[in-house]
Amino acid sequence: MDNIVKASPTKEFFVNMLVRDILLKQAIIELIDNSIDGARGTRKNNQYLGLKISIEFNNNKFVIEDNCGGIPLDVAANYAFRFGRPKTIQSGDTETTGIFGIGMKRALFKMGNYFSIHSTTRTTEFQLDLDVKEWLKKDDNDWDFSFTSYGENMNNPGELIGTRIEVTDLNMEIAAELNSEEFEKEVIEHIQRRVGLDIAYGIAIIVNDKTLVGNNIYLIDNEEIKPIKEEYEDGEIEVKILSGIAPREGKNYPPEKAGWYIYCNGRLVVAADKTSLTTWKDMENRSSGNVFHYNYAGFRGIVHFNSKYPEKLPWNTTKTGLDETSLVYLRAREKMFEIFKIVKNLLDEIRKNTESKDDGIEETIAQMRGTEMTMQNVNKIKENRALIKKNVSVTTIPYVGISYKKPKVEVEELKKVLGVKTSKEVGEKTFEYYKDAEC
Amino acid sequence: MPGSDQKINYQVRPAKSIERKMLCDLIREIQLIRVDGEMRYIGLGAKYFTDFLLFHNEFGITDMISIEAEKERQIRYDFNKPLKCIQMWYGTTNEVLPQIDGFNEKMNLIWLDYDDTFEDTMLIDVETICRNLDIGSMFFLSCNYSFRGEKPSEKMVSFKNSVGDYFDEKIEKNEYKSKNMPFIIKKLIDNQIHKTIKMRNRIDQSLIEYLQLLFLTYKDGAPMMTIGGILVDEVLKGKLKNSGLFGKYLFMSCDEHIFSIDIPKLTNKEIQLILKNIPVTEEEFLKHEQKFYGIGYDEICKFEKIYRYYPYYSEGFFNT
Repeated sequence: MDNIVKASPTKEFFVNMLVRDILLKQAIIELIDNSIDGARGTRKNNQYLGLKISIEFNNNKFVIEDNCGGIPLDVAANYAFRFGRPKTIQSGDTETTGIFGIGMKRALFKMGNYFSIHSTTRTTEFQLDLDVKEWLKKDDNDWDFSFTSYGENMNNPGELIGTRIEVTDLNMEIAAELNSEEFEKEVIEHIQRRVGLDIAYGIAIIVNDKTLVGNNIYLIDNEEIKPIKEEYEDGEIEVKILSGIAPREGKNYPPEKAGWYIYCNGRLVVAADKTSLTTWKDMENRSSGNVFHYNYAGFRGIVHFNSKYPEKLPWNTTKTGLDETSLVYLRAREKMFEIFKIVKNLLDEIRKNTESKDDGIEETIAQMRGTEMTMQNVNKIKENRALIKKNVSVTTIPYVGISYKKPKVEVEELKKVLGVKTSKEVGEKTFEYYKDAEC
Repeated sequence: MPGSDQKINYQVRPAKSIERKMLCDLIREIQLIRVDGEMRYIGLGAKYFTDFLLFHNEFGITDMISIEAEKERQIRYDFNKPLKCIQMWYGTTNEVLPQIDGFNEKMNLIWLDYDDTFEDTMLIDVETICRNLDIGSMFFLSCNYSFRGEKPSEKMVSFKNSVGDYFDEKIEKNEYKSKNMPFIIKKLIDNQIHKTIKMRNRIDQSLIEYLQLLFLTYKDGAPMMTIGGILVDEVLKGKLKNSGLFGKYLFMSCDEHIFSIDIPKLTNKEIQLILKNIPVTEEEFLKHEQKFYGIGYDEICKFEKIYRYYPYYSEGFFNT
């Protein structure tokens, strides 16, 4: 016997196992990420106007098509389809989201058994078709794919540049999901949140003919209420932490939107977190932070980690969460804790103030408008640690509640006289009457 | 027997005055060991700013922040503020401390001299401080340690209500005795300090340690305690340990040992007599007992422990 203990991976591991770690909507985002990385490579300074990513799906096929630069032939041949990122690959000078060498393949395997990729750059072009079942049948040592066709040294016109990926022979449960209206709605919302910043930069994302709008966070940012902001460099990573109060939406602050939002290279990886992953107290960790309750529904925190070395960012391989043991993240979290205290204390104070002697501050803040936290606006905000109630000058008429009890018979009598149905209305009407008559 | 003389000194809080002066001695020594000058003081000045005046006069500190929770009466506090160099920050310590930055620019001295009974908000402040304070900076916390209830079980309940999630289930019920409360409080504070510093060391790959310098109790009416120390690295820790400070100042404590500021009730004439005769051994005392006009040896010993810091009233308290 040779002294060899087999440890090499099998194809089935990639095709059947790793796909279990992501949801379909996350797989779709992976493919969008690839297109956006293409956009980052071709357009500097995030000027994405004119770039487009179209997605179409039904129970027979899934297609994603973009005009974001295309995949160069050598990249396709040497890196793009490798399982895992080769050690030799150099980081570029852009802040990309592609890094682990797993995203695109995992997304495609998740969806179906046949995929065809066509990509055109200014000088190259290729077509790659893969029947996954056939590929699995091949020797376990033969992992490589083959181009169906390719061309080099070309001079392709601008309108042809881009990538088209089509997946057919869909997995049964995927076909059912892609065919449902609820899924379409869910995936649209997911994309609008996760790559909302890129949509704000001008890239058009269209899903089944519906043009998406970025769903970004809004924070109140005016002379009186300024977000708390701290920025610093942690090795090769730029970190920006912001926190403040969201503008009220209609009559309330939707609690589901409250919490921390964490971005890595512009891609939202954690949304509205209210757990001990960030600064909240929960079942997992009761030793620090606060338990979330409705009073904190206006709380928003934003953290941006940006780096030209995406492998150093604290995200997990599915980009749906954080590597909680990452020192970069833990260092940021210690700062988030203190920033959280500032905003939380202000929210507590506002509430206390409203309950004891409403001077209108809560309502004044509720009527303030928010600013969309695009990268541009985030960069405009100056570093700040002060957030105090004193700075808010009341612009609304403060309201106070009055409560008293009167004999039921008498209140019922007044209901009839005043033509109202509730005791509350009796209170209001009698107050208004007295004020009109006597003041 | 405690009589009306017990109450006279309450107005001027002699124990507090002694504590402040002890702190001065301590800070002076630390300054000498650290050999750097600039310092910032963060405290709770209230209306009297006694600590601010003392530290300004003793050390020439001109960077001072007083945290004042009573926002509604700002005008009153601004009026009483005795020095231009004191910045007033209005809000509770929980609100204000996270907003203060520049902790790494100079040595910081923080004294959170709360009047209140120990509670969870104080531990939140300890966390903020330990996250931000630099090596060589010091912090102290004073609080009332009396909890409602006669029986240990009752005290435990009121303690639990005060500290919420910080309550340590491992501390047994029968430990909640009046005299034991400073140790229970110290345990919670130490836990919070060590937890925060441990995380700091983990994420910054540093080797910061907390070295306790004080653990005092005193009574100016309510039973009070003060605890605190300094953040050190290996070098500073070595310097402090070798400085002989803990031997020089009996009021210092780096462990469970409590220094109790216990002021014997003596008249000025009695004080003069003692000052002329100390140090005196018990043997000498017994030999010349009649020379002490009925003053007990225990009273002499108590006074000897604090005489350098005793507020002889000629000092005057009119500087505010």
